[in-house]
Amino acid sequence: MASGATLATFRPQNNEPPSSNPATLDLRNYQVCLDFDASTDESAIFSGVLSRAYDGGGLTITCWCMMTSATTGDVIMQAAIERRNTDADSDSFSAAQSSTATTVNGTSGIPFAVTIAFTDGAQMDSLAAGEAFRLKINRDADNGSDTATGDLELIAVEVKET
Amino acid sequence: MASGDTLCVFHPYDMVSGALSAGASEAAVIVYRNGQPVLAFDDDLDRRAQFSGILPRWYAGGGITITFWVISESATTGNISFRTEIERRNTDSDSDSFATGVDTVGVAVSGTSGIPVTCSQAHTSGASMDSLAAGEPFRLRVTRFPLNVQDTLIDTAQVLAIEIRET
Repeated sequence: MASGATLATFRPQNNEPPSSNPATLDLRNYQVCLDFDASTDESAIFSGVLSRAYDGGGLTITCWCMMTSATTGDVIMQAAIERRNTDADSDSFSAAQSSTATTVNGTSGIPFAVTIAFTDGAQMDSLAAGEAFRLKINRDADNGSDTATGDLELIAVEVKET
Repeated sequence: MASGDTLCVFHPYDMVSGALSAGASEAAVIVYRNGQPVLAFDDDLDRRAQFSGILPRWYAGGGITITFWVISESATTGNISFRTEIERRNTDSDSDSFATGVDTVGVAVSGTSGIPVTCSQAHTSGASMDSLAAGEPFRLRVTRFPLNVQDTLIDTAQVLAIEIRET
């Protein structure tokens, strides 16, 4: 496969909550979403296997988000990858990568995309095709450029080849 | 990728909890058949299940075909039919905006109740798919209407899996 190919997708139900400051499951019009607080950094963790179609071009994570109530302001999301070839009793995520400040939709319930890019290699914890991994997503809520008020609601995550 | 390639697969556990939407239907329920989770759509009420996903970027615009693997609880005769509806998630999530649904042609269940049969329905590219495009999030709503003329199964229909492929 090539640039732009979908490699994995995750839904809110796939979250494996961290022990501290987890994003929380919620329903909006009977649609499952993960709520991320506006002031405290909260995170969600998803596990998977990187598709063997991955061609070494790096990854782009797309977070599909909506806001509980905000219709103005920006949000910043971060993501970190852990290649699952180390002791599972200790986390070993690579350094988090950040999105740019992304403006929310003018209607709170309309989803918008926030993207985070990883270059191949250390940024991806040297994850290779066919290997097990974890992906941690958090809202950088205490960043001064994250200005949207209220919770962010995550409805889906896509991992694609950059 | 091309015609016939798998785009998404949904299992019973992928059904969104609280799958009721405003209006008519009760939710399909997860039951176990020989230890295997299945989604049960009984013949007493309209039953509904909803799933969410992202259409893979290798979708080439040829429309989609949705296929159900179905068994009957005990019946060995009768036809089963489902209605499928697609919602492109680019509108206000506080209101449903599914495209007009499409009903599968009734398919006869197996002469052995536990053996799966498949029933499929195509959604052409465009309005029938709510203009959903590759890489976009969507919801799939599945409803059994026991009073539909295509549905003559007098029994609970149990769905093992759902596949979405490029037509």
